[in-house]
Amino acid sequence: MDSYASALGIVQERFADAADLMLHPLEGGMAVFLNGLVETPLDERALQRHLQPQAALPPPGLPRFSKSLPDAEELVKALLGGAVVLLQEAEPIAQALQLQGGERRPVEEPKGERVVRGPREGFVESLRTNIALIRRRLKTSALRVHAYQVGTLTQTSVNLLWLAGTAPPELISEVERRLSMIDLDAVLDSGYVEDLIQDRWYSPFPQILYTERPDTAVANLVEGRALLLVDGSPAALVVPAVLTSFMQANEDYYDRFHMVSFIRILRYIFLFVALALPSVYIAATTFQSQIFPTPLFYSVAGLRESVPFSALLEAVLMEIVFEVMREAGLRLPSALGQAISIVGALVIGDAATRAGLVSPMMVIVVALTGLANFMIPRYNFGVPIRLLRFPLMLLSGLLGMIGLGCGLSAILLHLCSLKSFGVPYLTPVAPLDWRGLLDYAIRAPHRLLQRRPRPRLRAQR
Amino acid sequence: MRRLVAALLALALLFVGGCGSRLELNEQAIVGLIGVDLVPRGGLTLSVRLVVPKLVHLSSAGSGAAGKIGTVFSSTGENFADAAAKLQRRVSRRLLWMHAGALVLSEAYARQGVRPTLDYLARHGETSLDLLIITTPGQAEALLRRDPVIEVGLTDAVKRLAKLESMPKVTLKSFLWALEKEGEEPVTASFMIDPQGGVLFNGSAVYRDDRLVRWLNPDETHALLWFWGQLKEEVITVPIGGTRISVTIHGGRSIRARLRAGRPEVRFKMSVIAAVLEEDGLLELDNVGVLDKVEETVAQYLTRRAERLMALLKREGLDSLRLASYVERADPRGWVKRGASWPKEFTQLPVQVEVNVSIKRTGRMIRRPGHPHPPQGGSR
Repeated sequence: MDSYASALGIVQERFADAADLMLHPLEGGMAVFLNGLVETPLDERALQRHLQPQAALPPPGLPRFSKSLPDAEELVKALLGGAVVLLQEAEPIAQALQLQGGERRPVEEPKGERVVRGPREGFVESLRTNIALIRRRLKTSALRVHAYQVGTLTQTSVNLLWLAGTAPPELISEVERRLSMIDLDAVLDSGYVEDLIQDRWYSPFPQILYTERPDTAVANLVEGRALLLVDGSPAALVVPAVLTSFMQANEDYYDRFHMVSFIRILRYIFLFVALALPSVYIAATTFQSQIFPTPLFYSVAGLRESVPFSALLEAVLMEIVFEVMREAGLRLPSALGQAISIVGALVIGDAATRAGLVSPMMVIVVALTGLANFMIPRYNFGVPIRLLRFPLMLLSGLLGMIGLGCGLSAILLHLCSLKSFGVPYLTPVAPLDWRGLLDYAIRAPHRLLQRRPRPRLRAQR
Repeated sequence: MRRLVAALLALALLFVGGCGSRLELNEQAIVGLIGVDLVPRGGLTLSVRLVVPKLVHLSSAGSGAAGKIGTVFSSTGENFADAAAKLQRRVSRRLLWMHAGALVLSEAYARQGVRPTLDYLARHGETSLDLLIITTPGQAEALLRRDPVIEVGLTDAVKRLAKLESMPKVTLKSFLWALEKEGEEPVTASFMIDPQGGVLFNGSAVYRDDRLVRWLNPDETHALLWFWGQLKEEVITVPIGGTRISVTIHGGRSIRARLRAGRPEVRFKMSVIAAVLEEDGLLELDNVGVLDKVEETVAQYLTRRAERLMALLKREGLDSLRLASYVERADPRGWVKRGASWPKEFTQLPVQVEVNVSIKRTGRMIRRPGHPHPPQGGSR
């Protein structure tokens, strides 16, 4: 690329059928950009100024507002990245101005992570906005931002953020190593990245936390974790993530600690309920009926009297119906969604018990289980719990409490062996960390939680 | 590879039967109470009160069927196992024994020995070891056929009464333990048909080994429970100076056994806390002297009651008081010899009864004309 004409030729050739390519003639040059990707309206005088040879250029290698483009590939990349490319006869022949803009979703409260008390800002699809949201909360030069590109077609920007001196360097190098191994054509959401950099792809448990909240992201940075922002995705990835991370809601740190501690204990209890209540019901009604207190046993027996199915079948059917209702409610237009869940829950549930297809006890069990699942603050941690419920039901339907015990042991063993970027999944319980327990089932007051120097997340190989 | 094999083996475990027997609730008949009667020509009649699940919710909904969730089936056989097997032919569902609340032994059956039945229950293991054992002076089957007045099921009526009243709560486990233990004799609570409906606690049944030998009335039973240290609270009415006073008592006891000149002796001490319930207004309870007198009278009453029970049991050589274990602990080596002859030795055992009564509350006092004492209540 040696002249103005050849540069223009490259643009016209590469973007032959691109109706959104805009050419804007300037005095002594041309501004080229893709419509919609740049900030509008363009300030023509500012563009004009960049066409003059600049007096003091910043040293090369540092990010700059304007950047000269030495070859055709760089030029194409800059255009696709949303830059305004200026072409002229004099050096630099082609330069890119970082004037990315265009229509984006405004910053609003994330729907999946609502709070009663706390900031209402959420990440958006624009990487630059997201980084700005973090910068605004974390006014320290120790914040490091490294940029990577993944996806051969999408050329998605991925930014790795961490606090120098807080996050362990070996964590950062490990994340970089795993990022470099991503080989995909398209990366459309941070979910792709999560899937490709997690430790155990076959585990149903998420090993990377995602959040759409800048405050949560900053809290994790401060605690020595690394953050991955993927362009086009409002969900930032937090690594490493252990089981506790998924059982904590961001509000936990904004409310008074008494209530938070109480709720957290409830959460862990109901985590078990969500996982095993239907299985316990099956085991108790078909194998170990002595675990019922006698009056309750009479009552349960009376309710099950006219049910034609076995307890196992009854439970599995009801749980499947519940999942169907949930999925259907999710896919329906939001106005209809509520109506359908009321119809589903009340009408079908009531009719099914009246018809004697399921016992009212089972409806209580399923409803309680479903409710318990919503106690889990992180949606992606609720998913494996929902899923593992079914094998557990099968096990307890075949072997009773023994089967349930085997199933739960298997899950526990798996959790013990799981690691997220080298950090054991059950930290701080196993390996035991007494100070870590202050922010586990309870949330101690902030004056106790604040520790300097901050403890490193210990990775185990 | 090894992992895969292990996983497959673990999966194969699912198809191994026999770990537990899967049985749906609506394929089972829930046994609430078990009754055993003697058949004069030999053998026994086994009765079970079954809980009919379909009636449970009808009755709680108040549709007139209250108190009728149970139905009685009975069958006669050579022994318990035989009768149970025959009973199953009559019941369309598999009998579920584990929720049985009590085993009711009829007098006639209990007198000729209950060991075979207990043997079956302990060996078969389908009932809980916490199965309550009670004895009835009449027919067990007739007791089982009573419909409770307040409770939904008769089992609840029996169990709740056993919980509420001070009575020997002897379970299958403790009965078997008493049979096993040298020198100790089992005692069960006794229930009879209440003419006013339901069932009634009417004392206890004393066994020698596995045979019923005599009955104790409720008063004697309370005296016995003081020895066991299981009495929660009782109300006693004692005569005092031409009038009578009712007090409610509770407290603790201590039993010490020691050897004197190679022979065991036992000291039984009751520490009783009493509260006045009722009197005729003739006692000046605010007078310390009178109060001391009341305490002494109550103590005397309790001492005499305990001594009467002692004498009665000693006459028959029945250590239902569970003193054997205290003597054994006082002299473990001597017990090796003494154990076998304990029933005989027990008749000679000196037991010193000591009762210490302390009235903590007199309650509010009402003045009776002509008996001047201040109206305010008091407590010490």
